[in-house]
Amino acid sequence: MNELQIGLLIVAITTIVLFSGFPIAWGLALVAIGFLLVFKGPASLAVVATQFMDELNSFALLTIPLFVLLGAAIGVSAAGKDIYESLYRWLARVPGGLIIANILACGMFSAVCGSSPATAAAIGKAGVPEMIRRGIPPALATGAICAGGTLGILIPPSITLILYGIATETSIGRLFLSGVVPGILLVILFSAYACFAMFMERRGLPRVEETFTLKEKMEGMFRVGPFLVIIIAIAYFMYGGLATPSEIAGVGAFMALILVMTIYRAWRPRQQWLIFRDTVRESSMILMIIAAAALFSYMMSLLYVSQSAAEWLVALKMNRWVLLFAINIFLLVLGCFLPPVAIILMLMPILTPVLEANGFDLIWFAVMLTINMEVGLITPPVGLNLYVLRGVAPEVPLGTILRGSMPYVFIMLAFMVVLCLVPGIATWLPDTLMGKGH
Amino acid sequence: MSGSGAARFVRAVDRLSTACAVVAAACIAAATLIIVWMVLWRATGHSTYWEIELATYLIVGTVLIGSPYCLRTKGHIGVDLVSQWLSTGHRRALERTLAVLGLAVCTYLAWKGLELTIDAWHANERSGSSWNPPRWPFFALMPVGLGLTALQYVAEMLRREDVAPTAISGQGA
Amino acid sequence: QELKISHQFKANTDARDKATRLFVEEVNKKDPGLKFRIYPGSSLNIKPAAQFDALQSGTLEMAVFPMSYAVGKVPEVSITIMPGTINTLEHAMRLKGTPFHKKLQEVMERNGVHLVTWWWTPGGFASKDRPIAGPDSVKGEKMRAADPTFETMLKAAGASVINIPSTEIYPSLQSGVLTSTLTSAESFVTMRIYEQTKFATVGGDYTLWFLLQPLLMSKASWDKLTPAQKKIFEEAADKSDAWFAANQHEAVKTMIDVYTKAGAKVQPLTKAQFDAWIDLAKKTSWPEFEAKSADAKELLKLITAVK
Ligand code: NA
Ligand code: NA
Repeated sequence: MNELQIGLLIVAITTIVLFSGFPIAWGLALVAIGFLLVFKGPASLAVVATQFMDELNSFALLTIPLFVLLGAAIGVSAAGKDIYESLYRWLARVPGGLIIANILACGMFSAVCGSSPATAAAIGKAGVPEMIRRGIPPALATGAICAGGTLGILIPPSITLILYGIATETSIGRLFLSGVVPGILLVILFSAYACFAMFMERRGLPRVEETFTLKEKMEGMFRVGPFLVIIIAIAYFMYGGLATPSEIAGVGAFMALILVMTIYRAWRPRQQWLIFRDTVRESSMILMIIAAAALFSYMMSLLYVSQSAAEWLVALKMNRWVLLFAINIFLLVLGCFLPPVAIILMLMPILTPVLEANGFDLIWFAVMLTINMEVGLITPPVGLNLYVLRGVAPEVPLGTILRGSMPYVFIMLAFMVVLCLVPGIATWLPDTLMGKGH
Repeated sequence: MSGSGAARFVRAVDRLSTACAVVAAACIAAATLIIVWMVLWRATGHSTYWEIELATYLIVGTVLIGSPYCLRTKGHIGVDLVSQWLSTGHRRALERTLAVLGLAVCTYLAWKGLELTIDAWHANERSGSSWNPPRWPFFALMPVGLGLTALQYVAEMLRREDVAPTAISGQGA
Repeated sequence: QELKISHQFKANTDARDKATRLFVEEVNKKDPGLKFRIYPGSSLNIKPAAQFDALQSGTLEMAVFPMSYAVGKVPEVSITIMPGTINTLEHAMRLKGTPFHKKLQEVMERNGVHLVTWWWTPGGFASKDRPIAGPDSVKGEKMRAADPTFETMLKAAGASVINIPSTEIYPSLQSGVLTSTLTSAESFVTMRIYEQTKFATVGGDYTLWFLLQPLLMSKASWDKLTPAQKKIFEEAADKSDAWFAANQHEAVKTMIDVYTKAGAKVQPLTKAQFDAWIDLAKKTSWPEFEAKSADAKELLKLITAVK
């Protein structure tokens, strides 16, 4: 069997195993161990435990549980209800106003959090139940946060852009700047869609609009105050040089806990248990998938499957735009099965020289790749954000979350086309602030 | 409620998993405090060396020690596209098969983790940082966490309808 | 049987990757039957430090490995980054084949890996707010070092030593969590640290430290080679060593160029500053290292015997 045939076999078997209802984490581990055993022999399994523990032994990755804790503190206590009540008073008249507020919250949170699943977990924990309680269809509520959360790796800071910078030897500072404008544009596009979708949803229904007096609205403002303080404090700690992007997660979780313990008086062990119980459960689910995905990526790399496919693609000597199209399709397929970090590590050594030879700007491509990876975070069978949303809203079936997220996938794909036509969306800000040429 | 051995075993394992969740919660709470303390300590011009490393180990503890509780409360998510097309009998058979496979995967990973832990113990391996703690307690989280998850799988297979999980209502998958 | 070579560096531009390809080419000239596959940029999905575990278990045949990463398993490797023991590239190359090299090889083989090449990279400092010169100049600096014995010396000089992962160096310098860092001349350029620092200390006749980042081979795989193949490997290693040393001179020049172009101040250590560091190292890093084991003590004795 050659490497491409093995690759097809992996795709087929993984799809069957992961769609059978088997937990994703064990499924990935099972496929990885099976293929290693069959194609590389028992000796290749010697490093299974090392790979598993080494993947978890990364502080940057472990910000996910801390951000889950932050989200749980706000979501489980009355704090979440309060924020959304006050937002609701201001946004009741805008179709999809609450969804837009959540998308904006995802965008703002992305500016302090470098990981997409973490962003989705932090915002979704409070946001989804409140949106559903206020009558927004579950598909729209979960889809918006599933997609909005993916902005975590596009808007700086970003774990994947750091790794891309190291893999391609491009400037991390420049990469961070290049994600800002596309991130803001996607927030606007996502919001516009949410507004449109809610408008269509409510069309023909009697208007059950509540109106609020200015006094009621202002009263709501005060309740949002403490959260603005948290966000401003987090930004101050990070951009003021007090803490690294990863340490921010711990600081944020701490402040959220203090807030709900003091202002919301959730200091009793029983109330704290609700917060921590959910944190433990969701963290374990997400990180187990990530650790198992490390085994899966190691298997794929050892069998040289994705590398061979990329080399084969490159060897076809296509026109540069056809090549770019083919690369993106290939990345979308890989994105169904692998998390972003593994894809960047495996493929960038092969793709970088080809992109350079074809005259593509590596900073521009980073944005293209990141949006592609964001799509991968939503596509099954391995779509981390889907599972995060499933974790924070256990009553919503996975199919509903997926249905709600699909429109955003199309928005992102369309945005990638626009990015090809107007590369300045990505390169203008870094070129303006850091000078041209890199 | 029956007082049979199986039922007693299931209840005991359920309680053990909940106890694990409490330990896991304590780990992440401690990690949060350590990070905040470190940021403040460093802001006053001091060196830091053990804080991030210990916080990392504690959070890995949360993830692995919390795993049996995650399984008991049906938190390990799967994508089920098949069972809706199956008859009740076939669905039962699929569930059994998946439970056996889950038990096998967790047992195997726990076994590999145990080997790693024992190797690190014998080689007196350390982390290599300036704090330089022994590595084996960190590695031991893997056999403990996944071993207990395997145990929980056994309990899930023995669980009869009448031993309803003491899980939180509405959290089932 | 295919020999996998894993490393964390960028393909076709980083000297450690280029030297690896040169080595493979030289081996294949004499023995085309040996098949290699290079996994650059951590693309085997084994993390840099974990490559050592993979070599020890024989899962991975070869890796380009910054030796200090193995300090948790083999405390003696701190000698390969020990401040004040090597002061020029020529000095580093003179160590090849000496009793020091043989002793180091013996220690590594006991730990399941074989040293194939002898690639030393010169190190330097870069800082955001002041030139790093003698030990008194790091007082109050927030620094990241790569090795515990090195950290001991920096702490004794009054620096705040901070433990953060290498992926966070750039953003940490950017925000000011870190004010200076040390790494190899080439990494200052490839990691674009020059964008976030204004002062660099590198080059000249008094380099404070070098780091060994050689091609390592799993002892099990090395033992499987025939004596003829071992000889071919050693000859190819000699060629790559010579190329690598020459290239590292270039890397230092490139670093100086890049920093100068970015408008930064670049300077080497003076003899007086270098001597002050050595005095401090002899009171801090060296005794701490010697206390680790009898092998450590002997390695330090052997390396300082080569002038
Ligand atoms: Na971000
Ligand atoms: Na996916």
